[in-house]
Order: sequence, then structure tokens, then C-alpha cells
Amino acid sequence: MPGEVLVKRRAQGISNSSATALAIAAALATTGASAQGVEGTFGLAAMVHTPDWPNNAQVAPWDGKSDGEFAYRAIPCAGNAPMNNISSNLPTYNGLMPDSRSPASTRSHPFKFNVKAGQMTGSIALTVCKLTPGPTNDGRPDSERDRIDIEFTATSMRRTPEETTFSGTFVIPGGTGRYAKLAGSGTIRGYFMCFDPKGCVEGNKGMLRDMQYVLEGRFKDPGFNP
Amino acid sequence: MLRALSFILGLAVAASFSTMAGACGQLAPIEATKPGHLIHVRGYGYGFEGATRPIILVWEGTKVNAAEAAIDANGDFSVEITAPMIPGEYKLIAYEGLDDAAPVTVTVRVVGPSI
Repeated sequence: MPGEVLVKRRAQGISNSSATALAIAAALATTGASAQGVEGTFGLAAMVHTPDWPNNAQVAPWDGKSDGEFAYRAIPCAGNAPMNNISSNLPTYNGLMPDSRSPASTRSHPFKFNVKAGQMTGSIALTVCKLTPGPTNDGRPDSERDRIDIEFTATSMRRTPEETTFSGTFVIPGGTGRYAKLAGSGTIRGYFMCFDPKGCVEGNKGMLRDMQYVLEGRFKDPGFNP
Repeated sequence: MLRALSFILGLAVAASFSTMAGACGQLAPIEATKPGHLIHVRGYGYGFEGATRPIILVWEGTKVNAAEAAIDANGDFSVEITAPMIPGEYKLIAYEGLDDAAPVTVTVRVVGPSI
């Protein structure tokens, strides 16, 4: 159920208003002992690329069949990226994060993985550009922004020389900044292809230069206290 | 026109030229070429946000625009420019309009004797 949110409270089960007020007062008096948290469901849709390949050492496109280590990157947060600029309601915690409004703008910096006999094991460093849609214009480098870490395993299937699909599962072991205590899990699926109108074979030496992926899952952050 | 040119030059100087940088648009790889030969520059994935803007190509470190190209209905562009006359490795930067804060860069290798 997208958008389902459950805010846990220490005073759960207490319906009497005065008793609730007392519980809140007690919680306020206990430094660092806030029992609030948040959990919910989320979706994410994003794209990654391999800019300036083969001269860019920070990217390594996959041919959709070989074993090895591969890396894709997203454009900077300042860029006009139609999909990544409106990618997810995870960073906003379904809009509960103060001053947020889904869909948030994110970048996969990077999306990297290992392939062995079609089995993919990888990670996504999901940089949160901003808690609202659109590119950034604050001048901050993306490396300084809060990040959500994602680890996944998936099975790939090479459909044609122009496309390889994959699907699997992921976990969120945490992140940086406001996402340090974030946890979650769900499913991942996507497809590698070439955005180039000439395609992968004719225009890019058989390499699948771009990829689009989606995540669906649940999240939980016991440290969230708006 | 002068203001526009100076703005572009300012971007060219100030922007990070990290090869991971790029806007939504992407540039196709360019094969190694010879000094003074024509280079076919192809781009795609442009024009999805905001109004359609011209693509302005600038050689990194120079003060002149190498070319300007229009995006077609599919978000693609194609233009031919002349390779530098001195062999070496050059960065060609593609700005989408005058307000592209994250331009795309492609490496151009020029090999062979100077002409």
C-alpha cells in the first residue's frame, strides 16, 4: 500500500487525552530517549549512465553477458534529469520529513555491481539531492549530501544485444546524515540498454551504456523524530 | 550576444570538468581522429525539461564556441566540427542552453602528425 505510514509512539494504546499529555511530557523530559519512529512503503525510479566512456575511469559499462565489475553513474544533482529529479518518496519518508514534498530528487552515485554467471551483486549510493522535486542550485558538491545505502542481489537475463533485464531483492543497511538509522528491504528490477538512438551494437561497441531501474519496498527509521 | 558568450565562458571556467559530470543529455563516444579532420558529434536525451534550448559546444580551456546545434523532436542533435590541429586529448563540453549547471563532457583524441 504505497503511502502507508505508521508513526510509532511510546504512548501507544493510551487513549485518554490527559494521559497522552503526561506521556508526551515525560518523553520531552527524557533527553535522547525519544521513542518516535517511522515506517512505511516507498517506490523509486531512476536512471544511470556511463558518461564519456571509454575515457572515464569512473564508469564501466556492461555488455549484458560477461562476468566482472561494472559501474554506472547518475548525472550531478544540479543537472536537468527528468527521471532522477522526481525519483522517490523514500527520502521524504512519505512526506513526513519536515519541509519535504515527494517526489524527492536523487542520484545513484554510483550504481556498481559484480556479475558472475548472470548473478549480480551490487550496491547503490543513493545521494539525496533535495527533499523536493527538481535539480539543485545550492552549489554544494553531491559528495556532501546525505546518502541512502542500498545493497542488492539480482538475476540477469540477456534478452537481445540491445537489452538485458534483471530482477532481485535489496536491503537498506543505513546511510549518512539523517539516514544513518534507516533500514529497509524490497525488490529491485530494471534493464540495461542504450539511450543512444544508434543503439548499443552500432553506436557503442556492444556496451549497454545506460540503465533504468525501480525499487519497491518498506522502510523503517526508529530515530526519526520530526 | 556578448553577454551570452561571456556567460558561457564563465560556465566553462567555473564548471567542474569531472568526467562523471553530465546533464540529462548524453554524448555518443567519439573515435580518435586526425588533426583538422571533421568530427561527428552526436547527442541524445536532451530537451526533456523546460523549453527546448540549443546545444552549445565548447572546447575546454578555450574562449570560443566550437558549434551550436538544435535539438530535434526526439531530443537528439548531430553536428560536425573540426578537430584541433595539434595532436592530443581534448575535452568537448556540451551545454544545454545558457543555464546548464551540469554540462556533459566527451573526450576527443587527436592522433597523427599536425597539418
